Amino acid sequence: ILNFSMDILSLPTVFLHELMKHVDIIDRLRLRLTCRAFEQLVAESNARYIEKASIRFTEVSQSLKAFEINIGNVWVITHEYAEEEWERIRNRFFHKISFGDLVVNSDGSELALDFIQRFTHNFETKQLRFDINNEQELDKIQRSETGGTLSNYCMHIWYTVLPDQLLVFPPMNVLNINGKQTYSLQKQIPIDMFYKMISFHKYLSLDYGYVVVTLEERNNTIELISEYSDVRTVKFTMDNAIIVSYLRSFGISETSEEGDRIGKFEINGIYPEDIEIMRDSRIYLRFKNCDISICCIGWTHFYSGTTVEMSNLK
Amino acid sequence: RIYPLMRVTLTTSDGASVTVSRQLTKHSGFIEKAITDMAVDDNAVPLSAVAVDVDDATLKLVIEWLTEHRDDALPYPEKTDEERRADDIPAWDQAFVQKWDTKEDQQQTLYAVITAADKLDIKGLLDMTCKTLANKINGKTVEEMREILQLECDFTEEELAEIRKENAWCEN
Repeated sequence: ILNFSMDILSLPTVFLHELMKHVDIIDRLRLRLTCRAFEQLVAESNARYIEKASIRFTEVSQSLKAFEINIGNVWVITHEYAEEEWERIRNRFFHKISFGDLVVNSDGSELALDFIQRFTHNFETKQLRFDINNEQELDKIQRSETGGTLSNYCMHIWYTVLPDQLLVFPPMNVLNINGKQTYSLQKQIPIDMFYKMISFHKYLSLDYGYVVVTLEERNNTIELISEYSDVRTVKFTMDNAIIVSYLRSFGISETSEEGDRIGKFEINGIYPEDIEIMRDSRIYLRFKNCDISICCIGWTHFYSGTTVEMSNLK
Repeated sequence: RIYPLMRVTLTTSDGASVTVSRQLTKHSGFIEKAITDMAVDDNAVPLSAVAVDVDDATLKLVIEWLTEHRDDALPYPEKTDEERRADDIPAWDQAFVQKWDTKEDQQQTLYAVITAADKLDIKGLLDMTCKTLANKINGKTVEEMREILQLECDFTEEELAEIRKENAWCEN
C-alpha cells in the first residue's frame, strides 16, 4: 500500500510548470476557476506552444484600439482595448507564450512597431509576421522608435512600394515585397541599394519590376550571396528574355543536361514544362556556394516573368 | 562508462533493500551522481548501498518502468517548446499507468511515481507522467478538473465572477 499525499499541489513546482506547458489554452482558463492555487499557477507558468496565431488590430478612435487574437481554437476579443487592462489580463493567463508563426495584421489602422512590441511583451515567436497593405501602415512602422535588429521579424508588403521607403527597415528574417505585377521605372531598385538589402535581410523576395540587373551585376549578386557567412536567400522576378540571354551567354541552354559543368556553373537539374503535372519549365544550377533555381523559364517561347532564387548553402 | 553486470543496492525510505543493475540506474541522475560521489574503482563490486528517499512500493514501480526503458537513449533528449506534446505516450507506458487498480489508487500512485521520478532525477519517467496528467485534464470541465485533481474551490462567488469575466476575453 502506498502511503502518499493526494495533493497535486505538493508535487514539485518544476513539474507543475512543465505540466502547464502541456495544457491547452482553453483548459488553462478552466483551471483558473478550480481554486486559488491553480489560478496562481496559470499566471506564473508558460503556456503551451502554438504553431500558428494571428492578431488583427483595428482602430476605433485615435486613442482606442480593438483587437482579435486567434490562438489555436480561441479568439481573444475586446472592443475597448486599454493597454493596462490588456497587460493585467495577459499576465493572469500566462507568464510566457511561444508561437511558431504569429501574423500581425493592422487592417488599415496605424500601428507602431513599439506598440506591437509592448503588446506582445511576453510572447515568444520564432517569426512575427507583419502584413502591410498601404503606405500609411508602412510609414507608421518606419516612424516607430524601435532600434536594433528585428531578427525574428518577417514583413510582407502587399502594395507597390517605392525604393526610398525600403532602406529604413532594420535587418529582418524575411522581407517579401509583392505589389502589382507591373513594370515601372519608379519602383526599380538601384543596384547598390539591392546589394545593401541583401546584406540586411536573410530572405529577400522582390516581385516583378523591382530588380533590373545587368549581366555583370547578376554575377556580382551570385558572388555576394555565395560568400555570406550566414544564411542568405534572394528571390526576384525579371523578364524571361533577359534571363535566357544571360544563361545562353554562359553556354547554358535547353540542351544542357543534369551534371554538366559549364564554366563555374554546375547543372543540378533541368526540366521542360509539363502540363500534366502542372510544372513550369525550370533549371537548377550551382555556382560556388550558391544554389540557383530559375522557374518559369521559356527557352523558345517567352513567359512574362521568370523567377530567380539564389541561396547560399549554409 | 557503464558496466552492465555491475549491480547497485538501493535502500528505501521504509527500510527495504533492492539490488538492481547499473543498466537501469544509469537513467537516474540521482543514483548515478551518488555512485560517482563514492569515487569507487571501476572494478569495485559490489558498491555500497545508495539510500533513496522513495518507499519500497513506489521504487518497485519505478524499477518496472526502468526495466522496460533500460535501452532508451541517454542523455534524455531535451524537448523544445514546439516538440512538446502529450499524445505520444508509448503503448506500454499507457498500460503501465492504467493497471493501477482503483481510480483513487491510480491518482495516488501517479503522484508517488512523479515524486519518485523527480527525487531520482529520471527525466523520461517525469516526462511520461507529466503527459499522463495533462491528458487527464485536457478537455474537462471545471468541475471534472476539481474532481480529478482533488481540488476544493476556495473562491468566493465574487472572485469566481471576476475570473469568468476575465476568461470572457477568450471565446470559442
